Amino acid sequence: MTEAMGAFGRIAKLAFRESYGVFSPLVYILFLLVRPMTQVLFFGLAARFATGNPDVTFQVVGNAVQVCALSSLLTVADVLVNERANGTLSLVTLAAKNRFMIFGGRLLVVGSHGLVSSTAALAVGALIFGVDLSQVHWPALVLSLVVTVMATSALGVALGGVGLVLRDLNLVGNILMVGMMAICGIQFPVTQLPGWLQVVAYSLPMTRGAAAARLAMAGGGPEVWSLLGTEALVGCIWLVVGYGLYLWLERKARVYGTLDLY
Amino acid sequence: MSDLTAVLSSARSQIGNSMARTMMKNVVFISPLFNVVVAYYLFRRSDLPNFGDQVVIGSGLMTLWGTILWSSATDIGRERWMGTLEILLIAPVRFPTVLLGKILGNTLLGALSVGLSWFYSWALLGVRMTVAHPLQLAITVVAAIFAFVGFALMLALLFTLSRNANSIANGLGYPLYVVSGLLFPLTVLPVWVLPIGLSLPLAWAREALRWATTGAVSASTLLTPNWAVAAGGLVTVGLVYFVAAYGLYRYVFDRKLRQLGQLGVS
Repeated sequence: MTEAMGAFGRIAKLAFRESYGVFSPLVYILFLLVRPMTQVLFFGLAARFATGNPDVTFQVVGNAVQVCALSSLLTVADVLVNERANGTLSLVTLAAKNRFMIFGGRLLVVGSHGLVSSTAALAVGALIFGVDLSQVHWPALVLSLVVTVMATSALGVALGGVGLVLRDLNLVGNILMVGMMAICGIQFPVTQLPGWLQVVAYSLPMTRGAAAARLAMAGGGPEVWSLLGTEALVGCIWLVVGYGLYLWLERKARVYGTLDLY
Repeated sequence: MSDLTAVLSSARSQIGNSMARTMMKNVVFISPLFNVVVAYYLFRRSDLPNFGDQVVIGSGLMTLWGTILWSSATDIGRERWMGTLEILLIAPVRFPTVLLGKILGNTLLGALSVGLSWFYSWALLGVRMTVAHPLQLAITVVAAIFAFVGFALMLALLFTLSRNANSIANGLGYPLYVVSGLLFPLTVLPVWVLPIGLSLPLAWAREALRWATTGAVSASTLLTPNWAVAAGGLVTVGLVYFVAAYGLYRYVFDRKLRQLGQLGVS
């Protein structure tokens, strides 16, 4: 167990250096703070103008959850693609460590970055749009973010598995990312969408996570825990499907010798 | 080979190369769809008289801006990664000419994505966009392409100086959307932000397009007093960026990268 935790920590440390070590401090801040803050500002101002309603808590919380969750989706999904690009995919496949370490270590870095970005986004909401933070149930809000990140990462694992047999995973990842931003109740309520699109939205992570975070902002309540439970369940389903898919595709790729061919 | 032929040839080759990349296909064909959906549902319940134009122009310019930012950064990075940036610099055709063609190609693809925003809005969501002044719209589109090419040219040269170009381009999207007031009037922004917004072609393009499509109906949400001022501002900003790009190439890019030998490593 101690050895496993050590490996997890080492992967997290290396993941940080790999992902952010080449960035100048300015670019690092641009990504970590400026981008999420301006994203909230943009959609908050757009919603205020469109509806005439000065209360844009819906968009502020939605975007705070989104900046936290979706970066983890692509990061986890990109793990295998990057290994292939660097010529190390075969070594990773043969590694003695559990694959969960590889995904999880990176997730730790991205998740903690995501929480900082979400905090910055909420700060913009409070300072610029006057979003009320006095009623916030902080444990429920933090848990909403963490559960959503985990659930979205589970989807990332599935995406990563598909990446074993797909040349351009970034394409699928980006479509999923902008698609989820459009339909998962980030900028407007899911109930406004056509019925079939609501089904798609609720089968994806983040939809219930964002709803739970909004309830937590308003003081929490039993529905928060119910939403978070379902969000975790959606994440677990994606994880089982994704990890199963990954192991199956990895085995196929090893059998047919196609691991590095896509 | 004349410069014009080189520009057109470079643009044609750029469009072909871009369309061969799935990522660019996503930016041009799929991103507009999602931007339209977000803008549509944000504005659907508004009582704005120019609802359709808000959706089409706002989401269309978001996509166009993304295309320009992304392609300006990645094209240079790609040349550097393939080791062809140095060859481009010493080719018989001047580097800015080749770059101009590349950017023209990207901007035309971006313009196509604006057209697709209109198509998706109309075909999938039933949004109707009015065009009060077709001639003004046509002139605005040409002026916007001119201004965006000038801006992207300068941006591409700046990105040549940085190895973080892709990351910067990724991070700059929303800040520029905000200061350009893409989905809301510039008048809602603090006064100190306005000069930043007005130094970018996007804000002027948005103003000119809105004057051309809805005319006086949008007047209360526009900063400029009429279409002529907005279009004039658009052309002026474009010209300034062309001059700035030339200066950057002549006095910074050429010296820093060629004379100091830092082209492939900066």
